[in-house]
Amino acid sequence: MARILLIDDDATVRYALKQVLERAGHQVDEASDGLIGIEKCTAARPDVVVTDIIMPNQEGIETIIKLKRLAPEVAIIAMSGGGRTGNRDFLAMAEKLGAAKVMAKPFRPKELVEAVAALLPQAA
Amino acid sequence: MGLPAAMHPVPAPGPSVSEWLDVLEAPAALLGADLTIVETNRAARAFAADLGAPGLRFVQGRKWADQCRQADAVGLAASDLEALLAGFGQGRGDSVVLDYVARRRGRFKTFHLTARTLPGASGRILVIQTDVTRLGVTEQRLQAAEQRLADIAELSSDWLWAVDDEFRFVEATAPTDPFWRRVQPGLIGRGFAETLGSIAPDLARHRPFRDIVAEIEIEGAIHRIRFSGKPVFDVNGGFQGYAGLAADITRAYESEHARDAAERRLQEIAELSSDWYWETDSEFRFTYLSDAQQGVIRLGHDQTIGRRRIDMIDRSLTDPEALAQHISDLENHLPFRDFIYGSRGVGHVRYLKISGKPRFDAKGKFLGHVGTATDVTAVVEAEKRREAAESRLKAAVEHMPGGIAIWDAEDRLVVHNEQYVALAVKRDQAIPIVGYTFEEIARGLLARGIVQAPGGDGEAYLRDRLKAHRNPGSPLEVTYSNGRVLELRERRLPDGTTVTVTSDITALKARERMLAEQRGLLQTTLDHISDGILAVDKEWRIVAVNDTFASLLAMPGDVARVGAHLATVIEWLGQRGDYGSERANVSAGRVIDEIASRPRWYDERQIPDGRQISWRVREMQGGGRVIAVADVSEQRQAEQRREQLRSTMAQAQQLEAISRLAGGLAHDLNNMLLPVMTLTELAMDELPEGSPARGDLERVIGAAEHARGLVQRLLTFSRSVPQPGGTAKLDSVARAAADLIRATAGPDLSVKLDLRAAGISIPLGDTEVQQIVMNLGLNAAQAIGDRKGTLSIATALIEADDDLLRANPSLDSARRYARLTVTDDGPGIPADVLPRIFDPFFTTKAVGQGTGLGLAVVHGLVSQVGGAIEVNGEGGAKFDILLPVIEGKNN
Repeated sequence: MARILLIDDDATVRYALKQVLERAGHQVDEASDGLIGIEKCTAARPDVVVTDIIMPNQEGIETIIKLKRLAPEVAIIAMSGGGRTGNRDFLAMAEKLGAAKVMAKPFRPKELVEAVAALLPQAA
Repeated sequence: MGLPAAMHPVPAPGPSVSEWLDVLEAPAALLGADLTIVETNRAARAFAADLGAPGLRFVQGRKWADQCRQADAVGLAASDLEALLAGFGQGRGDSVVLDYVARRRGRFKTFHLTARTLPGASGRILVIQTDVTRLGVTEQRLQAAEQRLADIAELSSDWLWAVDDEFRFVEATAPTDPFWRRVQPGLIGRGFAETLGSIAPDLARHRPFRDIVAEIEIEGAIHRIRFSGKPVFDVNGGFQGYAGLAADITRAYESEHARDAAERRLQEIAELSSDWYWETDSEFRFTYLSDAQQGVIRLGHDQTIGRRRIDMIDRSLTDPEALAQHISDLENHLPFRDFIYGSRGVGHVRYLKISGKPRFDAKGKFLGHVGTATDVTAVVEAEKRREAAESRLKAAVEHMPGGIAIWDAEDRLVVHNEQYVALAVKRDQAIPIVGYTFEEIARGLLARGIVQAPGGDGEAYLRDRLKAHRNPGSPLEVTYSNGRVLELRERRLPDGTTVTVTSDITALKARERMLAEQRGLLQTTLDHISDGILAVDKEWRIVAVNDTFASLLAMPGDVARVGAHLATVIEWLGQRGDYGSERANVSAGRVIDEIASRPRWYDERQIPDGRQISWRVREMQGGGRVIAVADVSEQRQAEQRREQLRSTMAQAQQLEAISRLAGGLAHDLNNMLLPVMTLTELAMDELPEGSPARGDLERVIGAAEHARGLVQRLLTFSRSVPQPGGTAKLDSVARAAADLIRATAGPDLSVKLDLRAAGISIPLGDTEVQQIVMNLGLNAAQAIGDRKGTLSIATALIEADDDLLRANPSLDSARRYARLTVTDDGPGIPADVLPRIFDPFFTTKAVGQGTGLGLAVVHGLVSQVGGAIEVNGEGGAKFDILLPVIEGKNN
């Protein structure tokens, strides 16, 4: 079991992914943008943060940069539906900035469950 | 005078020789011993100056012999005059007298020449010439015969006669006696003896005779003439002939009034040749007038007889010179002929012409004149009218603004006005004029340089001028040395008269010259304008055109020539096909009507060589039109290029918009697909194994997966929209792309390379170039499909030739281009599809096999760098991509 913070501006996406992760036995908290996500993360110190890249208020790249500074021990999974600005590859960028795993939307539930599992210590 | 000069140390002024000579009223000359005239008197000088007067002229410095040759002497040789003085030189005598008659210009004078040596003047001779004409010829003869007449004074007779020593009549006096004049020709030269046969013995003995009547036939009539005569001897007693008196006594025989009858007959005869016969006495009073004059003068005898004619002459109607001569003739008792005078009769003017002869009695006493008169009123008045008409003509001619000259049928100048001369000559020049022929005057003008012969060929000018004068036609222009240019118009009248009218057109010519200069300037200007210019007048006749007009329209120079109608130009263009092949016989009139309908007119049409020619027609202020044609091909091409660029830009913008849209759409779709796929799987997990709903949910997941694939391609396109910048080596990128295509397409596709643009760089990044090659190559591979096929990729460096530039206006003639050719042997591209292949989202591929964006991307990339694409879809597809070369040290 892990504590997971889910950051995405899309409520439906948050709902679907929360279902997937809770069924896998994880405890899931939600944030609708990067600012709220950072706040919750510094307060609750989850094990894993699953964050979208393109969001209002504070987008994912900035969020990852801040998280790596404020909570370097938190593992980050970045996900994106593709860029609005053409060929810029945000996921590759997120990976370079320290995201433990990047995933292109849409993905299968199993992929996310496996990715989270891979990030947790074997002992847990 | 007469005293030795030495006795008067200071000589007193006395009359000089010339002053002394001047005392003489007659011309006098002083001759030196060598017979040279050393001095003349005033009368001689006056006489010498009167060239019309007959007689010997004394001119100082001349030889006497030379003077004699000019004496106009009648019946007297110059040698006689020379001989006159020659005797002096030889010491014979000291005084000589000689009479001679001189004639000049129809005037006769009789001179008495006296010469004598001057005493004490060392051989000087004084010659005095006295005019004795006044004495009259008859008087002289009477003087000469004075002695003889004295001898026969007791004889009463009518006429004086003389015969020589051989008894031949040598003289029959009074040649003015009308009767004797008729008798004389029958008498002179006739033998006296045979005439007076009965007195022959007396004659032979040289004895006087008296009242011998002889019958002499004169003009077929027998006249009885009574002769009385005495022999004449010279001073030495030598017989010289007879002289005597004679009377015609025929009349006495026939009747007591025989003389009156004869006179009447004579008068009647005289009247046949004139109007009437008259006689005056020694005081010039009328003594007789034949009746006919009354009908003319309308004066009765009571008003004429006893009056003097001179009192009846109206001086205002009579030439004063002729009148003076007439009076002189009367007073000198001379005959006169054809004296014309005017006279006012009863209320009307008459002009009379009279001739008369003096009459003398047997002793030479002047009796008066007899003569004839003719009424010449009609003639004189006609003459006066003619003169008046002529003077009116002259006045009219004088007041004409131009020069006028009238030549008679013999081509002599009859009359001209001052302008005729004034226009032709400078102020100080004079030209031969009235009385000369046209040719003489023309030659004179040329010889004096008054007329300037064109080209300096005087003879040619004269020839032409005379020809024109003899056959007057169109006006001539002649340049005079006074700087004037005259226009000469000549006309030949039916009577042979030629009229020349000259007018000064100097100013006109100057204006014409100025106009010609201006026209030349205009033409020069026109010829240097890059547009073709043609001007027409109101009648659409070409008045000016430059060379450019014909060359721009590729038209022979003689089609649009000055003077031609605009219609000929339009028709020529129509024949060539400028108005379309179906309008070869274009109605030039309709085109002109169209042009005429507006003050400004514009048209553009392509001529057969492909150039686009614009026609701008503008109305001129004074009517007529100016047409300017210009080659607007380049302008149009530039516009086309701009248009293409604009459309390329628009396409690029469109592409970018699509890319943004696609990017946004993909993101949103992916976000939507995530819950679809995730929640469907979660739901499926809730269903028991074998539940029919599981199958349905699996289909939902399948469809979502498919949607995810589509979105993925959309994103690929979105990312593929090129960004400016970057360079690529064409050949190496093409080679790499070919490898990728080989790997993707599999073994059935043979990929051939023919790369000939080694080292050539183009202004696109590697990725973009690769995308172009890949897109085209994969399209080809897909078109070939599962069959075996060949894909060829070739590159080359090319020069953009004219054909290529025309077909692809976006290309720049100044640049070099690399050509990338991608060819396949697939089914090709149908003609109806060809125009749309570069449109975004257009695709012929099955759903899922293509986005319809591949060629749009290729087109966008190529357009962005100013390249071009040529496509041939027949027998396989062939794409020629033209990309500008980056010129640099490596290329």
